[in-house]
Amino acid sequence: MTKLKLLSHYYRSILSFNLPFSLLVATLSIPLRENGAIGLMNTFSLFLTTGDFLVALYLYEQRYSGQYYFYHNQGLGRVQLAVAALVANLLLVVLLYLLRAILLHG
Amino acid sequence: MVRHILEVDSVLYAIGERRLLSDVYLKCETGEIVGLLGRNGCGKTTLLKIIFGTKHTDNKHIAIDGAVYQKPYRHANLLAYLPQRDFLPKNLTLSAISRLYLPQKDKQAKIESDSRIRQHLSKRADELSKGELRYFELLLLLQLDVKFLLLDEPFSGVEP
Repeated sequence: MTKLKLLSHYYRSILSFNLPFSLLVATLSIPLRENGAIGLMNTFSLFLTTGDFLVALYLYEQRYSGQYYFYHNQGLGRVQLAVAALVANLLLVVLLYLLRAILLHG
Repeated sequence: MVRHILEVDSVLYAIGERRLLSDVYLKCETGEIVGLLGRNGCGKTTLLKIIFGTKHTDNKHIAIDGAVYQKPYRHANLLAYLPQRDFLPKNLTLSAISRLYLPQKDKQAKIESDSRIRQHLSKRADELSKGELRYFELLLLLQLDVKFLLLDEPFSGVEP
């Protein structure tokens, strides 16, 4: 349970970098896309789980590298933290697409 | 008291051409306090990180109770490490950190009843002085159920 709470804490820290960047990129890409909200969501999902996720990991490393020991002391390694954050992002994307499907098809 | 043995052997570590650590041997048993003394830059912190498992080196032998580990920190209840730099998240209060880190109520109570910490429980880590933060970090790690605690300059900035 402690590990799960710590993973959640780490994920929220990563999301604080990841989310604004992905939203920004998705918003900036609106003029380049024809399919409006769906295109926005596709771009957001793509960047949330790829480029911006890597940027978020890099920024966390630059700003809070010392904080990794907060997690290491409970047995969590960097790779484990990053994989858990990526899985959480993928779940978020799946949730978004499910929500979209429900809204579009009732 | 259950007796545990930490044994570190054959540690080699080099930065480029400079050989920082060579053939280090260290043994520590439960109840012992072993101090590492050396000049600045001689590799004390590096050695602690190698023992903990967060710094890679090609050659090392870390054994706890006879079992060899490559990354001891990944295994439950073996080692904890107090780094030189602050390691607590700045967006949580001391009370929240204590609850997040220590699921056992009695251990949380130990921290929350500490005379130096009690008054700061609602503050975030970045609102404490360096010495107060160091004291809290030390207190927190002392509550972990680990066999050995590696402390890097634990009393730096802490008032006597």
